[in-house]
Amino acid sequence: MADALDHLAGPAGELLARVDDVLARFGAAEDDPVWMLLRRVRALPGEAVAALVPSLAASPVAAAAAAVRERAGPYANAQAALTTPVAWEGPAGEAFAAHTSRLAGDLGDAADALAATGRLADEVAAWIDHTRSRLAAVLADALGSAEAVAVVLGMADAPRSASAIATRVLAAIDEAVTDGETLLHRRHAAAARPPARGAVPPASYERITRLSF
Amino acid sequence: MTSPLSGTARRLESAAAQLGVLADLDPGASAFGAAVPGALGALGRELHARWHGELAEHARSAAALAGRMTETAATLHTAGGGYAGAEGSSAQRSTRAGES
Repeated sequence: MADALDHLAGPAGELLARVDDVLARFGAAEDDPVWMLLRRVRALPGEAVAALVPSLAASPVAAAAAAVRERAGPYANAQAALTTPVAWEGPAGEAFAAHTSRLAGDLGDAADALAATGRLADEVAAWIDHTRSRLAAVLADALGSAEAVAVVLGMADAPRSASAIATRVLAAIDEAVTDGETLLHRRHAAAARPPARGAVPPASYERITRLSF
Repeated sequence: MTSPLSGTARRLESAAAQLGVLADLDPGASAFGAAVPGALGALGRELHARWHGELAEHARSAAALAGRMTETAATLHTAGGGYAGAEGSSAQRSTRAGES
């Protein structure tokens, strides 16, 4: 489904292509904030937005998150199968119960890790959604601005106007990058703290003593 | 005779077969913004690499867990078969004793 950014892509794309062109031809004042943003974003606003609009998409990532959560079902089924008491008594039965308990615990850890990956995709989808909304708001403002008129008509202050529009668009992209990096670093930090689980001896069932049916 | 051990073994085998089908969950790097030039694209590629890496790790983990569950099921089959064999031998001995 098309969002606000998709709807703005046509007219905003034309404006930003002119902005890129004016910036490339005339540059900006030495102390213009656009230089710092260009160094941080490492792309011109027009080329970045043109590439972003058709590709950066929340819905496939959100769908992947939902699919990952669905994959947790078999882990719960496996845990249920393992924690169902079996009619096996004596030392071998106790060893088997200890083994199934460890395996059920490991399945629980794996299911938790899978859920964390699902949350990562949820957070990425939300970040993408927010990035597109934030950029759409900036582009809507830019399209209706006096600077846009100056750039499109090639007026005398077109260079200053182009750098003003570029600054706003690049600032939105820079904020998106900062938010995305925060998300990624948070995930790296969380994944670096695996659940503690002590080493366990291998299971032994050699001494089967009694099976009850 | 169907033993509860065999029933549990079959449940484990069935659950093991359902684990770890994750390969089709990657929407591709482009959806993460990987094709965007500059810093945003670099971040998109990092985010996708993180996602892809976690899926791969889950697939490896699921395969290992499925293997352990299959081994556990085999143990139950063996234990259940041993019991059935013992019960059958006992019945045969009882029959022979009754005949003599």
